[in-house]
Formats: sequence, structure tokens, C-alpha cells
Amino acid sequence: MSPFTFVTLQYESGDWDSAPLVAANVIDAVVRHTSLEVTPAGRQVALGSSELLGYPFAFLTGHLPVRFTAQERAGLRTWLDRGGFLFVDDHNHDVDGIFHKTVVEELAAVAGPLSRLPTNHPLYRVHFQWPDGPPNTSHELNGWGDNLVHEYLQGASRAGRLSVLYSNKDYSSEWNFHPDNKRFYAIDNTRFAVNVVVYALTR
Amino acid sequence: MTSTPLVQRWQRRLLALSVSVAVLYAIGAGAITACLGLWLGGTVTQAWVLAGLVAVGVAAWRARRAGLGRLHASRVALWLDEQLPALEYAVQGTLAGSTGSADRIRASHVEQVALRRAFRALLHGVGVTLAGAAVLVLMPARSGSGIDLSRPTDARRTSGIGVVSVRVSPPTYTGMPSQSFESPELIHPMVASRVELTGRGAAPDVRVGARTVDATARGGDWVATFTVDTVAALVTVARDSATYLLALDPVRDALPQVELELPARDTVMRAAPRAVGLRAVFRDDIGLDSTRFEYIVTSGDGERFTFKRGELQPRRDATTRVSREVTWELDPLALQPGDVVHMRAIASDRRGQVAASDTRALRIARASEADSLAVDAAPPAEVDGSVISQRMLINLTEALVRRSRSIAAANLRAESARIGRDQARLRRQVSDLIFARLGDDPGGEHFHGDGHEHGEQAGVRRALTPDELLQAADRATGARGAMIDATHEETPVVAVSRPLLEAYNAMWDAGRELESGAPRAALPSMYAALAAIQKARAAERLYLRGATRAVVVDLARVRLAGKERGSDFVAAAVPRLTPVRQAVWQRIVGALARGDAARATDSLLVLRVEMAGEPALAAAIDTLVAGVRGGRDVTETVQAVRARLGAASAHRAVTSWRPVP
Repeated sequence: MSPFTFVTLQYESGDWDSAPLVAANVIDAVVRHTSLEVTPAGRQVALGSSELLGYPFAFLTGHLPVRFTAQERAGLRTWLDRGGFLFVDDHNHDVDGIFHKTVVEELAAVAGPLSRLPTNHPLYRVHFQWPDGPPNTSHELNGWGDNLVHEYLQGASRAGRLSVLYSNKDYSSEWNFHPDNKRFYAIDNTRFAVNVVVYALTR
Repeated sequence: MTSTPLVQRWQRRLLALSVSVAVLYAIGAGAITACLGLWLGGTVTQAWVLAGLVAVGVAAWRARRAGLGRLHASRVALWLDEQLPALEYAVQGTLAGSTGSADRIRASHVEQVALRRAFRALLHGVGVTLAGAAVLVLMPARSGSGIDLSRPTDARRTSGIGVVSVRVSPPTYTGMPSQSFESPELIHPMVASRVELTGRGAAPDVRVGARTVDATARGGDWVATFTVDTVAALVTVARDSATYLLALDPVRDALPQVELELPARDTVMRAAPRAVGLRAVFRDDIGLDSTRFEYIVTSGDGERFTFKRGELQPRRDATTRVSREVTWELDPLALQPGDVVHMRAIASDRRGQVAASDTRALRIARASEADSLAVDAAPPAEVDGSVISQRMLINLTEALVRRSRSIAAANLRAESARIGRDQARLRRQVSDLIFARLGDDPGGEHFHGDGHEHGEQAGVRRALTPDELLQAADRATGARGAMIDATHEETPVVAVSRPLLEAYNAMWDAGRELESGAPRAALPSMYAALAAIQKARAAERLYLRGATRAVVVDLARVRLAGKERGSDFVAAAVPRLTPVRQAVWQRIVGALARGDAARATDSLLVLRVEMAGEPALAAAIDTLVAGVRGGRDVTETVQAVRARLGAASAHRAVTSWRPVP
């Protein structure tokens, strides 16, 4: 089996590169907590390219409106049909913002409407245990702009397997730091990313 | 025998002959027209109506040509005279009362000649009729436009079920007319169409897929009605031991197609335009309902963004294609530098389905990025100290020039030489900077990075003299001698360092003038050096977006430093999917191996309905069914089906992920 590669998706609209350190941080977390074979650096792959078909996991983030082109839409649909797992995170701290509205529209068109993930979803148990659902981010708790906690994640499934995971908890900000600085944290706050990756690769 | 009975007899014969020929011509032309109409995609009813009209027209034409309304005695007599010129118009003469010609008529064989002529005319009519019949029999059935003309090949159907009339009524919103077929094999109704099956005799068992449909008796007929679902299905009509199969391949109402033609691409503008032109083309297979443009304006940067969203000129458009052009005034939006306007066109069809075009973005540049619009600022460059020093030297030189009239010439030369030595020191700092970039030892003025090693042996580096360095700078800057060909000879390193080499070159000129006691002459070179340094500084403050620097994780070190082990997990094995396609192939082979065309057709029809989700494969099976039914060699068709099976995507388990070839 090929080593796991963290792929950040490039899309034509918006700021796809708003969280450049998430890849390294998630790679660090996966390496730290699992024995999976991992590629040491993330890759940036254009959403409409066939290169994406070589990877089972991809991450998409940004602040600005997300409007896929027809090619991007078709490429994403094909990739999901073939078992790809897409993790989308809203990089804004707002509620019902423009990224949220537009990306949810786009995902619904490609993967079907998103539904709320229950707290007993396998995603929360596949590696670390999160009995209360997704972990909160520091931005949610100290209130950068919304001071609200987004209590659940959403997703779209295919054949009983989660294929699109959508978060508006702003993990992009939470995990966007150099992994060398992780030593200053009492608890690794990227552990939930391990669950996401392990779920994507094993379910 | 007088001519009057002869003329009367032939009056009757010619009338019968003309009517017969007209009818034969009408039958032939009608048959050919019907085949042509069906072949061109018309319904059975349309084809036969058209055939009837053509037949009547042809019959009328033949009747008029034969002069049916004008068959009076003199015309018949003239016709008889024409058949045998030797009579010299005796028949007409007899009709006019001349008795001398009767014997001549009696002695002639005018009736035999006329009968042969009439028989030939009749043969022409029969020929046209036979031609029509041949076309009707030989013309291959055309499947398409929702019609399959062929009749069931299984004798059980026609004998047991009889003719089944199928009436398809599309959903009301489509505005499409109903269609009628007789015992079709395959139809392509719109999803949600109402299908009515009727036939004669007792009510049979009717099933649509796995669903039972009630068939009710009405007089001596039976009727069953159902609504077409989104998935393909096989309709089974069974009575006693007879069965009739009808394949339904539903056609979905397609999403509207929207193409935004203007703006043609994403754009960055120095200032907000007063207006922007939008042009889009909207299409739908059934019909559009409304069209509009939508915009989102995003303001802010970093972690703070706000947005405005709105619609432009929503309009009802009840056509299948419309092109719209709008001039959008942007002034009310009060766009600021850094704002991004996202635009797209949206259409909804009569069914309420909504589709949008690609989105175009118009960004208003910030002042700081006016010279390079797709870049972000990087940390300051390392030449700031040089900039200050060069400016200080210029200030000192300008002051010296101002004082030049009031001081002695020897003092002017000494002062100028002192500034010249500072200029030389600064020049060496700049050269060190260039060497550091090139990876050389910055301890002296030697240079290897200009891409002109001139065949020197690898590994043997010769230090350049200051003059050679100056020449290199000259070549790089084009100040003297030939310009370096930037595309062929210049190395990237020299390209990046070009402003610094320019500065170095100008500093040489300035230093030489200063040391010779000519500060005024040195100033232009000093200004040029300052400008070059500022250019180098500006050039290096920027990096392209999208080329983010990848952080490489030291996997071994991280694994060794791991403190939290987490909980073990057991990956659940994902069962491999059954090789569905292999099973499909086996079914095709099995159907063909039976040797019974009717049974093979039925089996393939069932399979075709199951494969309706893959149009290419379903079409290949359609062709195969037609080939089997027509008793043709289907080798190539089978190969095509096999190719379709092989070309389709395979479902794989996630755990065995591999790049798809």
C-alpha cells in the first residue's frame, strides 16, 4: 500500500492556501500517534486534475466563496465515486458565513446534502475516543468573532461510508502552526486529525 | 358491329383501368411514404396519416392524368384511333355518322392492340405497388425517438396477448404531446410520464419491475396504467402461458446548461470600474423557467472577511435557449481596494431544477501590489544597509559639489578621494553580497556565477580580477559591450542579481570619478547605483502566491519523540465487491449460447434494463438485441459490449487504494 499523503486541494475560487501549515501538523500527528506509513511532506493538487485520483484523502479550506468550475465538480465527483475522502474545513470564525454557504451548496451538488454526524459516529472512536463529538477549538472557546461553539460536524456518505466530512469549527486556524511548536502544548490539539485520517484510510 | 358499341365498351374498360391504376399507384406511394416517415422518427399514427395523404394525392394525380372526368365517346374513339393509325380515324368517322368505315374497323384488330396497351398500363401500377410492398418489408426497423418498430419475435406474445397499445403521456410541465405505440419492445418515456397499456381479451397480470399494476377489464378490452419511475424497468404482461415484455428506459429532465461568456476570465483591476458587462447563454432540454445573475462581494483580509450577496435582473424565460447581456453598474457597491466581486449566471427550468455557470472573480488591487498583482509581501531584503550608505555618499558628494567653488582644488581632490574610498568599500560590500548569493567565498572579488566558464576544467576555479568582475557586470547590465542574451546565456543566478551587478558597475564608474577629483561627474553614476539597489530590494520583497514552502516533517524524529500512544485500533476489513461485471458478461454469453433468438432477446432486454445506469453499455446491448433479433452476425457487437464492460470503472475497497491507471 502506498504511504499516506496529505493532499491540500487547490480550487480556482477563493484562498485555498490559507492554512499552509496544517499539512505538516497533521502529518506530524499521524506519525506521532499511529504506525501508518506517511509521506513526510504534504502535496498540493488541483481539484480538477487526474492527479487527485492517486490519493485517497484530501483537505480543502479557505475563507472566501467556493465556486467549483465544471471541471472541478466533475473531478471531485469522480474521485468520490472511486472512494476518495474529502475533509472540508471553514477557515472563518463566523456563523453561516460565505465560505459555509457556498461550499455547502457545492458539496450538496456533488455529494448530496450534508447531514449532521451523531456523536456515536465511528469517526469519533476510530482511534482516539471523542464521546462528546468533535473537539472544540480555542477560537470557539475564546471567541475571536463568534464566541459560539459549533457542536457537530456534517458529512455525506456513500455506500454506508463517510465520503465528505465538513467542519465549520475552524480547525484550519487551530492546526495552522509549525509542528515543532507542538512541544509547547500539554495536549496535542491535532489528535482529532488522526481520527479523520485513520477513518479515511480504514473504513 | 358498329362503332358505337365498341366505343361504349371501351369507355367502361378505360374507366375501370384508370381507377385501378390510380389505386395501385396510391398504395405503392403510401407504403413508401409510411416507411420514410417511420424511418425519419415519426410515430406510427403520424406515418400512416402522412401515407394516406400522399396516397390520396397520388390517386388524384393519376385520375387527372387519365382524364377520368372527360371519358366521353369522342375522346374514347380518338384514343382507339391512336392505337392503330392504319384506321385513319375510322372510329371517329363512324361515330360522326359515316358508314363507310365500319367494314374497315371490323376487319382491323384494333381491340387486341388496345387491350395490350391497357395491360401495360396496369402492369405499371402493379410495379409501383410491389415496390412499396418491398420497401415496407425490407426497410430495417429503426429504434430511436422512443420507438422500436419491430414486432415481437416470440410467437407466444402475438398469439396469447395480442397487440398491446402503449400510450405515453409526459408530465404536464413539459408541454410535450402524448405518444402511442403498438407492442413496442423498448420505449424511452420521460420520468413521471403516465403510461397506459391497453389490449383485447381478459385482463392479464401486469408487473412493472417488481411492482404489480392492476389491469382492469373494460368491455372486451383491458387497461393498465402506471407512472414511470426514475430507474429503468421491465414491464411484464402475462396471460396464461403467454408473455409480452416491454423495456422502459426513462429519460430524466436534464439540468439547465448555463455558460457565462462575459467576463471571460478572472480579472484584477487597478481601480473599481464604473460598470461591468455580463453575458450568459442559458439552455434547457425541456424549457427554462427563469434566468438571473448572482454576485457576492467579499471585503477584508487575513482572518476578517465580510460579504454582500445579491441578484441581478431575475427574469422569466419560457424558452429552451436564451442569451442575456447585462451592464451592471458597480458604483452603488462602493468597491474598495482588496474587494473581490464573484459573478455567475443561474437558471431554473420548468421542473424547478437550478444550475449555475462557472464563477468569475473581479478583484480590485491594493495600492501596495500595483506593480505585481498576484504577490504578497515577503520579509525585507538584506541590502537595506547598502541603500543607506549609498544615499549618505550621495549626500556627501552633493555637499562637496556645492562647496566646490569655495574650497581649494587640492582640498576638493582630497575630499573627493575620501568619498571615493568609501564608495570602493561599499562596492566591495555589494560584491560580497553577490558572491554570497552565488555560493562562492565572499572573501574576495572573484566571480563564477555568470554562466561563462569558457571551458575551464571542472573543479578548478580561477578567481576573477576586479576588471573581469567589472566586465561581467557590464555584460549583465548591458552598460557596455554586447548585451547578454537573457534567454540563452544568462544563468538564473545572474538574472536575479542583475540589479546588484548594475549597482556594482555604477559604483565603479562613480569611484573612478571621485578618485580623480570630479565629484560632479560621479553623481550620475551614484544615482544609478542607488536606483539599482532599490530595484534589487523591491524585486526581492515579493514571492508568488501558490508557491507555498512545504514543511517537511522528520518522521523518525517525531516517532521517537511520541509521548501519547492513543488507543489501539483494529481496522475492519472492507470486503471486496463481487465482480459484477464478470457476472454481466456471463449472462450475455449465457443468453447467446441458448441458440433461441427470442429467448436470447428477452434475456438481453432484462439485462439492458438493469444496465440503464450506464448509457454506453445499455446502448451496446441495444445494438446486440437488434442484431440477434434480425438474425445477423453479432460477433463485432459482442466484442463492442465486451469492450464496454472492460472500459468501465471498477469499484475498489479503500484499503487497497491504488492510483487509477
